[in-house]
Amino acid sequence: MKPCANKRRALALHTAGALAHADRLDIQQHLESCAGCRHHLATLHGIAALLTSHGNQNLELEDSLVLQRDWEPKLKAEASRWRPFLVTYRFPRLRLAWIGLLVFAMAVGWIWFQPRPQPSQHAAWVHTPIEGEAQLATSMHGAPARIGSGPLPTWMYFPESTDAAALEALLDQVSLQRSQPAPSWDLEVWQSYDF
Amino acid sequence: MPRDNTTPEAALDPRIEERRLFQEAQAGDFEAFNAAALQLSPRLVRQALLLCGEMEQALDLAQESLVRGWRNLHQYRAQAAPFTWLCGILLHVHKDWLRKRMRRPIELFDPTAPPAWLARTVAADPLEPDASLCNQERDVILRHALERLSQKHREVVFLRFYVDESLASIAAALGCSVGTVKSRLFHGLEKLAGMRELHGLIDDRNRS
Repeated sequence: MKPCANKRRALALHTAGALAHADRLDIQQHLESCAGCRHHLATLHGIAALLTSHGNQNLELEDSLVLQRDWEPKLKAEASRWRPFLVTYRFPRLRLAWIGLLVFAMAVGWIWFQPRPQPSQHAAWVHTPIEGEAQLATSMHGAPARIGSGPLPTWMYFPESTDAAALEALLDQVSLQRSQPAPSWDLEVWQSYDF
Repeated sequence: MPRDNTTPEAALDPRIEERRLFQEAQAGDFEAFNAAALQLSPRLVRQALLLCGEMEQALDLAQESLVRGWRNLHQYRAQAAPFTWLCGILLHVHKDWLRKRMRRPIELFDPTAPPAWLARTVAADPLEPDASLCNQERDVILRHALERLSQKHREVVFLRFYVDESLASIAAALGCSVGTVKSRLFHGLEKLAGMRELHGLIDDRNRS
């Protein structure tokens, strides 16, 4: 005999004494006409009675005195260990602030100690009126470099040396020749210069 | 030092006194927690004994529950009875204990040693060892049935039928809604109803 599928929950809650009054009346009415549900309810009541009687049995607990003697030092040790953090007991939301602060410090540290990218190459970006590759090479006094076409009408000048001082001296020399000031520059990033 | 701040209302209902002590403990008063623990520990050991069946283990479980209770006192909400809340912790400690027991190597059977259950049976009731043995067998079957439930279902079944708590108090102790407690109760009882060994116990009980 199987209970009705839509009444199983109500039967279990009825056993646990957790059914509202109206639902209880409804299930009692149903039980009068349904043998399967009656049988299932009897099983559930039997289980509940077993659990309750198991929970209510008399147990010898003289040894609880041992417990009192035993756990107190451990509890006190635990109390002294956690005493510095009592403020977080009282204000548990402070824990979030602590975690946030820790994450922030870790992020700052990670960024700070990140190895900085090294420039792989320096470039001089030459605008017109230099009109050709040969003219650019002449302007640069034949310094060892690779010359490539940039976005028209510009030229890219890639010095072979990555020595910043040498490149700066060369740019100064070219600026003087063309009577234009040399740009300021930064070695950390890929550069473009116009003069 | 024993505390004697009991109000007349608290003398009538020890739960009021326990709640007050827990609230003082939440404010950082260790002695208040100590006093509450002294009141609650015998009942806690009793519940632990029902769960694990061994006195020594029950003492360990209760002690660990109290330590964890102190450590997590900020999570206690006044809607729940302190004892119910501690029982919730006890069930978690019991779950950890079950897990450790699963990992423990199997002890070899010593045929020369007298079985422990026999000594316990005779000690429990020397005049009616049969009845005592039946009770112990029933206890073992019930404990085993509870252990086979999932943690969530075991919590609500235990707190409802062993601790005899109201649904609202169980919900407050476990930090969930009453609807969730009802749902877990339903599933827990359904699983128990599906265990054949419990049907035998029910029949025995009906016959007696």
